[in-house]
Amino acid sequence: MSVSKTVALVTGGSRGLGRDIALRLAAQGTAVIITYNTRREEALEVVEQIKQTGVHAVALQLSTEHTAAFPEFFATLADILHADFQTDRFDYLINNAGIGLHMAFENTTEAQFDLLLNVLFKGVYFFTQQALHYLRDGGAIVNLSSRLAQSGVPGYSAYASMKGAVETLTRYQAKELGPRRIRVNAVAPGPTATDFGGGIVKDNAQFRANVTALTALGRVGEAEDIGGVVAFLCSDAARWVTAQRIEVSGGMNI
Amino acid sequence: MGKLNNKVALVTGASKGIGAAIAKHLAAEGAKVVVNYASDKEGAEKVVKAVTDNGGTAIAVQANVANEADVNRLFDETKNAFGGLDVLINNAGIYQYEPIEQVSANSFHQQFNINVWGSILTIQASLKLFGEKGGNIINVSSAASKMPMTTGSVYSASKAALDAITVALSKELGARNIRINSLLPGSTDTEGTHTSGVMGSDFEKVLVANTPLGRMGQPEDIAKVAAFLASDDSAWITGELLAASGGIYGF
Repeated sequence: MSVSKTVALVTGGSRGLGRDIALRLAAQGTAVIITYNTRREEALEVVEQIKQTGVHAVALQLSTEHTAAFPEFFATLADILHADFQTDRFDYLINNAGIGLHMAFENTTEAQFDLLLNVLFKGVYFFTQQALHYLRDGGAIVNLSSRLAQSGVPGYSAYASMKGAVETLTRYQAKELGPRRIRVNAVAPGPTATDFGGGIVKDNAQFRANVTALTALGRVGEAEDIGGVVAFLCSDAARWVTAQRIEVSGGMNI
Repeated sequence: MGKLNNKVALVTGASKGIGAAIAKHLAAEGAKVVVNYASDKEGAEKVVKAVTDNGGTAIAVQANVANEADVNRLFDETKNAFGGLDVLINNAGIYQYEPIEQVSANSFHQQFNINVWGSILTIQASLKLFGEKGGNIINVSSAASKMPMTTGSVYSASKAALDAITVALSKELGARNIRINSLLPGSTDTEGTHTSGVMGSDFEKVLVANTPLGRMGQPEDIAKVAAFLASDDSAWITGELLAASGGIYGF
């Protein structure tokens, strides 16, 4: 097994965008710790796929909804960093884990709102706060946002609001972590063919056609379109890029 | 082996500063590079020599980007040398910081001619050279587009115009698989900022104090991001304004 010089922590790395991000980071030689909520088998498959390329990978369970579990998570992470990577620090944090909700504003319940708030914003906020103790100076944080944060599609008021909050948080983190030379950026995918939203972009032909018509480059996004951008942000090539929101959507032609 | 093997890139205003760094970095990533210059032949030839000494391929071609006949000749020579074009980098630009009372028709037209009209001319010419697989345009704008500063009204307006062109053309040219993005450098340590007296001044201290990463930018910082936008790693990014500024401009 090769000795990687850098280590990344990717939340929600068992499938979709998180999986592609993990694979692309590994492809540039970065060892990867991915988290999964319930899909342990799929996470272990990603780990196995990465290990076969000679790069080390580990999967850990994490629910970003439950802040009370974070200290124990990071204690485990510290043990793994020490045992598997002979270090007490990691280099890149990718806040990717998330859930979707398509619900009209007038029908969104307080319970749905609180779940999105906890997973997409409060969880990201405090998970990152605790991660700072283990993140190396000169490292980077990438927060996954969404095209939806900037441009309204009916039915995503709660989801998009949380992503808007994450974008604002990104700006402040970039300012406050600059003295540690930690760069912080947001990546905002457009409609992407994953399991997100019940797989509507992946499986619904009419929806795909609508998205294609609105996309400048004339197709829907695939998970593989996103990982390379995150990998760039987690490299020396992006050493001067911070406080940015990069939309990765093929250009929305509206 | 680089990320831009077998690609041909044309960089305008590449005899010094950010343009020279971009030309050298793209060549190091495997691209064949056309180093355009308006007047500094010696500077352009130095860039070509640096590329070829490093095992790369480059040629220097004189052209004022605001002159249509010059631009046509620039693209003819590109075609003759390399057979086509994959990446156009509109980097040539000038700036004039002056109080509004002193803005003249001359300084206005000079800045808009090179920064805006020159970019339109090169984009028009590039469309004839991009092959069936599409093309890639990078407009080197400025953080001054999104955060205009005192006495920079005309320069900032010209870069804001360039950014609007980026967004409009991303929609107009997407169906031909042509991507176009703006790259917005922040304050950068170049010959330009030395000549203008920014480097070493109190203003430089203000700029650094307001940059989260706490220093001035270097041309290589910008060149690395240009290489990303020129590569297939950014294949799904178009119509974007991406700042390489150490965070002095946040989105």
